[in-house]
Amino acid sequence: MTVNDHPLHHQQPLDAGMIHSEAGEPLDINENVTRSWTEIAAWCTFSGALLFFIALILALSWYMAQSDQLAYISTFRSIIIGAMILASALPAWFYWKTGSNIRLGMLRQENETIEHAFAQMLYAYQFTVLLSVVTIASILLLGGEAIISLLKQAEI
Amino acid sequence: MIQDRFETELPPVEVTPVMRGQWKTISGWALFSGIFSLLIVILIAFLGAVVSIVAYGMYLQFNHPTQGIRPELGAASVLLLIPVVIFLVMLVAAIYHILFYAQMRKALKNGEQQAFERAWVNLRNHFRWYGVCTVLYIITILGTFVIVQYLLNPFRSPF
Repeated sequence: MTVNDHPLHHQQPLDAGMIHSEAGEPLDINENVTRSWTEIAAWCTFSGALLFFIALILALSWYMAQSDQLAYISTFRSIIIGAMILASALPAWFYWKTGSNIRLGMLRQENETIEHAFAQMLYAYQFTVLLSVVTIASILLLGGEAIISLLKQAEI
Repeated sequence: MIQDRFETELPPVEVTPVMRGQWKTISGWALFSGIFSLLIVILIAFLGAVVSIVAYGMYLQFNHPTQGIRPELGAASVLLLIPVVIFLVMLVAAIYHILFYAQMRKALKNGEQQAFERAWVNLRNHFRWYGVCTVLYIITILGTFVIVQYLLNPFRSPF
């Protein structure tokens, strides 16, 4: 599903009152809000770059270990590393795009670009939660595998 | 000059129904993330307390008061600082996320401009806190690497 397919992207304005709050009061994107957005955009770009770097390091370590005949990586471990690479690269992309779209939207004063930025921030949040779940699951699975191999060695 | 041109020719960005829907969903995810972090924080605190009690028991068992502090036990107590730091970093970030949720929902429901501005300040603080902590973490790791390399071989460049 792309950002354009997201249900929020196709949400139609119901009436003029919906543009304001439920109480009917308007919310203003003033200087204070744009100042916060500018910094949020910068940190989102930073988070994106950092997560890309982590994904790259993981991919390189896996590749180098695979090419080394002495270091054997099982299919099980390769799947876990692959899941972690994907779970880092996906939020990285959406954080990066959030940062660039907020900056672009504020520079062009375009509502659509700002909407696009927040749609990507939403994806970034969802994939960050996925990354957390994958990381915890990986730690538990690898720990479990290590304990099982230790028990097997003890039996021998 | 480019900024002036945009400010004079283009209409300012305004709150649209799409943005309102997105902010409502994002604040929901922020709350989920905050609660998830708080659960991890509680787990870290619990594990940290258990490890501290066990370590203190070992200290009392193996270290007689007349012997002074043994270096390996001193190093172990420094390692206990790591969960404390993770606990603090995650706790502050979770609080900012929960505050963002609360202020944003208040702003969207009652149309309070002040709550709307505070919500974005809280989200900005969340990102700023995690960003600064990450930079400090990277500096600490690099610094430790350089110091360890220097201690192992003071006449050799660490790079």
